[in-house]
Amino acid sequence: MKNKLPFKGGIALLLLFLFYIVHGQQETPTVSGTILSGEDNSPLPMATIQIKGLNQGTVSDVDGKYVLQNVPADATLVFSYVGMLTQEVPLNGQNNIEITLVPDVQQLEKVIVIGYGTARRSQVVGSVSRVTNEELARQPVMNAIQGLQGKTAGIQVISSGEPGKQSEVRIRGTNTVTADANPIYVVDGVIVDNITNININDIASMDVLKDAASQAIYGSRAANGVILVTTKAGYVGKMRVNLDSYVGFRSMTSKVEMADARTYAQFTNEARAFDNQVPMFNIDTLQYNTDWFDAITRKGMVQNYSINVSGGTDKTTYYFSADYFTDEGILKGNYYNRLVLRNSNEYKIAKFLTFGHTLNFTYAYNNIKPNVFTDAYRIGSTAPVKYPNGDYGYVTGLSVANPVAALDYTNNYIKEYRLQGNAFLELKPIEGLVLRSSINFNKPESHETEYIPEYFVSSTQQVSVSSLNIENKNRLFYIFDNNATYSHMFANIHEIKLTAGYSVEHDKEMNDGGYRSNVPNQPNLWYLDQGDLTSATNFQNGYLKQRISYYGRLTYTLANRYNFSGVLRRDGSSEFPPDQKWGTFYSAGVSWIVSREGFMQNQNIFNELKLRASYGKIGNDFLPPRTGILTEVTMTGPYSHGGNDTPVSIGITEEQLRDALLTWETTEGIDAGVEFGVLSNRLNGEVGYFSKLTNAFIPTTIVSPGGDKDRIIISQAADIRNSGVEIMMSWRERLNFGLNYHFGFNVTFNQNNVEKVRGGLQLKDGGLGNGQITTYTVKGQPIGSFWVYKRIGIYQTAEEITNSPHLTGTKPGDLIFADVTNDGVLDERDRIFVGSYQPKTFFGINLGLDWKSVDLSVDCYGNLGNKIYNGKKGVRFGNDNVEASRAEDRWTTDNTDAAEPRASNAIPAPSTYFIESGDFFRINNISLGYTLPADNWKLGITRLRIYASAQNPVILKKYSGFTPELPGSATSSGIELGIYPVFSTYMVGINLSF
Amino acid sequence: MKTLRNIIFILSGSFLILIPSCSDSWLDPAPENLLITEDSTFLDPGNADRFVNACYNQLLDWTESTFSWIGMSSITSDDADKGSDPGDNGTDKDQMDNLTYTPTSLSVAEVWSGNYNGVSRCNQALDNVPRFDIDANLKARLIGEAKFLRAYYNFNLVRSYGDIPLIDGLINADNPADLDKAYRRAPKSEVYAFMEQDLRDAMNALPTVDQYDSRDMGRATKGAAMGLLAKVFLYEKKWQDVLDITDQIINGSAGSYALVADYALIWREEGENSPESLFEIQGRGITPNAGVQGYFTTQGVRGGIKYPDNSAALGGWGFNAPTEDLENAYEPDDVRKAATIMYRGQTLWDEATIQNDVSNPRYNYKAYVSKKNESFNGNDWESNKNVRILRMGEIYLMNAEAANELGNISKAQGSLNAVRHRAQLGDTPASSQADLRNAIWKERRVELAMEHDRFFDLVRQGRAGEVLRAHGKNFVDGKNEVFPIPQSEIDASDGRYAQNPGY
Repeated sequence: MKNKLPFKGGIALLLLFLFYIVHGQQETPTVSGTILSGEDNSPLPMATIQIKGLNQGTVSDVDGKYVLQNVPADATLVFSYVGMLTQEVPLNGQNNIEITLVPDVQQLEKVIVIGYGTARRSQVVGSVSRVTNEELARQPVMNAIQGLQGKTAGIQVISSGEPGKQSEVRIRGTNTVTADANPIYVVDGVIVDNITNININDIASMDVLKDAASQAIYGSRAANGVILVTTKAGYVGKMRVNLDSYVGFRSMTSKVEMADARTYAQFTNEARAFDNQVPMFNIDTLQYNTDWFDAITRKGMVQNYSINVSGGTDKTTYYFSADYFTDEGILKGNYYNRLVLRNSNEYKIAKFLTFGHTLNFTYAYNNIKPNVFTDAYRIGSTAPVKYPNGDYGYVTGLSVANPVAALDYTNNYIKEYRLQGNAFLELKPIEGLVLRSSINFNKPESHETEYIPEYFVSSTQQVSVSSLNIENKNRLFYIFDNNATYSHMFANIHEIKLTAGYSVEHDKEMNDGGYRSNVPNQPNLWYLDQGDLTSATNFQNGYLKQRISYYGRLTYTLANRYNFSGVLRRDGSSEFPPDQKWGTFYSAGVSWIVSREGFMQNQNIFNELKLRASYGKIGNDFLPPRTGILTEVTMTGPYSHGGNDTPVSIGITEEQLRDALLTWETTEGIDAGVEFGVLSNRLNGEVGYFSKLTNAFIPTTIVSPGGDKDRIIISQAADIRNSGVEIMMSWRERLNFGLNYHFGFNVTFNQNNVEKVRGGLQLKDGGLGNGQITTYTVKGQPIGSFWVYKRIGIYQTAEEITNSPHLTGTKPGDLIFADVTNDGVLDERDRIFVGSYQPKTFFGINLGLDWKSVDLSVDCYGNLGNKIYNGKKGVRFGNDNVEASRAEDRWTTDNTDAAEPRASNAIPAPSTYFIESGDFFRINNISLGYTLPADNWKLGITRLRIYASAQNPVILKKYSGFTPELPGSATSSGIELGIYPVFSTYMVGINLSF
Repeated sequence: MKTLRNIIFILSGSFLILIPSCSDSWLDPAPENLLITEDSTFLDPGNADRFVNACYNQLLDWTESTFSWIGMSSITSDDADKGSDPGDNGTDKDQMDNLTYTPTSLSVAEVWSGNYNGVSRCNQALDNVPRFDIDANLKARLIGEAKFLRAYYNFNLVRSYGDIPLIDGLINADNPADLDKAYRRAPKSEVYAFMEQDLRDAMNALPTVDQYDSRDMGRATKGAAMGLLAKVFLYEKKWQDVLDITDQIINGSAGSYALVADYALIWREEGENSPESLFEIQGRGITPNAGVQGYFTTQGVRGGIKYPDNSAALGGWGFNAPTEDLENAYEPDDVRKAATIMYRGQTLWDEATIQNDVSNPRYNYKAYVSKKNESFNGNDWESNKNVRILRMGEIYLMNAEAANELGNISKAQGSLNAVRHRAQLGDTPASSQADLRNAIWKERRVELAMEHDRFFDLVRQGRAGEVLRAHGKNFVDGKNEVFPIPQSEIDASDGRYAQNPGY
């Protein structure tokens, strides 16, 4: 009997259990309903409905209807849709929830990152632009900076094309001459200048601080602008897994056509005849006709695989991502691989104490090939890539390397490791006060090996002894930062936020390397030990930079309508002479939210209207290292006393005459703008005016007898101004039949001018490598203005030449240069200014549309009003190849009415012949995507999108060379000398989310 | 929980306050990998020597002794043409050849800056060496060496440009008086007087070549200082001084010197630092290399040059090719021709053969470096070639010229014949002062061919215009005796340098 009790109890339990289940089933209803759009009350398809805290959800259908199964009675449903405000509705036993989502159009309430904190857009008094992950990740680019191009006004991104290389960025113009003109990047609290180690999928947003007032919080480094990169972190919720991957290929677009073998041979023979030399080619027996650009380029494959996992609870949130990227590039033999691993966790140890850390590890392997595009440009088309017997081809009498041989014989690879991240502790001792202490670091390391074997191609392209060069670089940079932020609302209308802090920085780099010759040509033997001991040389060098900074910011908002913000920062740097180590930087600004005023409530035009104005003073300390050291004792090269059996003697000497007043370059800027939203906030725009003046360091040339070997003193001798207007417009609309589209346009008008110049300014630069210069930076002209002779025609006879001022060696068929000074002599004073590479206008257009499951986006970018110097055409070694257009309509005694001058081996003088317009318009990216209804497949997939994307498919340019994007230093940009052609990338990809 | 909280607050509070107090030393770390003068520089006695070594090191510099110097001292003359391929101007060597150089020509700028760098290094050495606590004799010797080199650099400058800024010490940019020195073109006579003083001081302080340790071979010697002083006097036409000093050198009171028997060996490696040599720029072609940058490469054969086993011998860009005029200047049987000029198609002393398709008919044999038979480690840019600056051949000829100008015909003939006999030639037939003068000048040409002397020699003799115009160059009297002041220097001086007439 006793045994039966449990059994009975068991059945009872079972029945209870079953009852519970059934009852539970009945008690867990199916929830359904319709979702409408609040704009026009039409059904909203593709809206997301999720059960909060669970990995369950669905999307609404074309009629806005949805059905959710197995919803617990106490669940909360989360309704969301892009561009709409998310709503959470607790079920409370209901099983039918109708909901209307309203557009999330409150631009002014959006939170943006402003450096050491965040603020509402309405509180921001300066000029800050935000680019979100959606806009960035549309373009599958290797480095995130390229994704910025054209997205917002005021930012010019100049990319080169070499795999692994970071693009140059100019924010509101170039305002320095000697220092680096790139902005700084702040990634998770670390100030870095290189973000090639960040996987673009890990970036949540990039906020660009464009004007002095918003940059002032970064003080001495901020003069070129600050880009704040916020990376993705964990969040409270069920684990999310995202997979993104694409595969594509790159191919060269816009090739410049070179003369074919016959034309080249004729041109060269003609050119030589003018110099009374025997012809170099027999036109009738030419055997080969090589297209060298085809010989060195290929379609390079690019692939990217990325996965991230994130989620968390209220105690811990986590984020982990891995990304593998490979890029073959368009140059044969080149490839770049990168692996990025990232982890970011946050722990809420107590209500008042949070600890977090982020670690980003990157490994990159770059197989570098020398840039042989220039060789391919110069070498004659009469030579084959290889002769039938296997020897590499060459042109006798032309000292240009066979580019294919140069690629094959160069073995150069770099392995880079980089560790970047931070750890922080946040304390909230009392309400409104947050104390934060963090250590942020960046540790890059690289190991480079370069092996050149012994080889012989021709008498001008040979290496008689193999060589192995090793170089290791090692750097540690850390910032230890402590700050406190206090926010409080007094009497409900006075809102105060005060931030104060200090940071200490340490930046140390050590490089070492070695060389040996006679190393065997086998990769496993590329060690210095394998080389000849008597040839061994080695080196080691390094530097140390340390900084201390104190900063504070006060933001006061009255009635959510009037804002005042002030920043004060004091920076000290070890780089400057003893009395010049500290600098003070500051800014102040106001903003007025006009649309919140009483008198604005009755008008129907503006949904949002904000006016802002600000002023700031900031600095730039990216000067060449050691510029601030006063007297440095350096080693000269060695000298051999006592014959070859005695060791060499070392020499030392003093580098003197540094500028004892050296300190930061300061920039002062003002900014004013109007931000508005009209037509139910469907149209948002911003119009801004800026003007900034930099007290720039200029290398002043002194005479050689002054005793300074490089004859340059760096001193603050010029004022450079950049001023202009930015206009941004963005239109977002959702049409009735489910089509969402947006259109964005931004344009920047910028004028760059060198004002006031002190001292013997001799800023002639833009060297072509053969002693000629093409730019001259002077008062009244933009930086790096092209300064060349003015071409006015072609000489027809020797008489004409003798009767007019000309350069030595001019012959009939050469260009006529104007004697602008009319002094009967043609010299430097007859050069004229013809514009510069600084663009007067640059603009971006971004279009996107979503329709049912299809999405399309187009991003374009363009430049107007700048000039380019076609430098490669102006460098002649003698008997080198020419562009087909150059040879075609050239002057001969039979063709005197020609457009091009005569065939010539002489080095041409820099003239307007080489200046071309730099205007271009490019479609940066076209992406077409289709989202599959994968959530219906019940595999747990929340999103599956496939897409096809074309990067740089079309470029319309006036420039006849390879690319209109030519990065360089401030006084030497816009000159195409080394060539790296523009290429297009076509890819297909997939986004998968669980 | 509350106690924990309080502890954390107290710790963090104190933490936040403590850190900023370490500011000063943090911003003033000892500079990494950088010696500054406040340092131990003057505590290490070895550094005294090193300041002077820097003065020698400048002799190896490309701008000092190579392409630009070759252009200005040799290609301008009737001894050498530009050379190389017709289309290759070597930036401005065609201008040098045709005497069409301008103030913006590169060679003009490099010779100026290269030599002034040399002067600056010597001034630094002279300023710093006295501060060291070293043996008095060593100190005096080091100062003597720096003065000799300073005079050498100034000599190049004054011969090239005429009136030049005279920098006799360190320039302090804060001192206006110093800056004036840098901006003032002192008259030639002042510069010559300064050089004389430097060389006399050097002469008195330097040991003779026999007194030096073998590890110091190549340093400036008493003989070197005296030889250069004689040459300075020669340019000033101070004949008695020339005669006195060269007599002393010839009779051995300045050290053991003599004409070597085989002229052809003088410029080869086995003839380095021979008894004939008073001063050479030491080139080191083994690791670590310390050679005259590019000296061989700029003048090496342009095109094929091979050994019998078909392996490549060393070639280069082919500039500074000897002229036909020089070739014809040698008397028959003169062994010096074969040692100076190498021909297309010729087999050289180390069995290398110049191929028949090379760009030029003649090349500078004195600049040749043998891959097989001389020290070579693969680095042809910094080869082992020593550049001979002063040697006994020239001392004898200066002696002859001075004697002749003073009317001592037999002495002049004696010195002249010494040089001729070494060249396997007979006695000079000249016996009148005028004939002897011409004979000595001609002997200078063939004895010192391709040794960076011809152009300046013609100018000093006063017949540069006549000779070079006959050779086909457009030498303008009153203009081309000196080179233009580089335009970049005039600009940097804010116009304070006046340009030489005619440019």
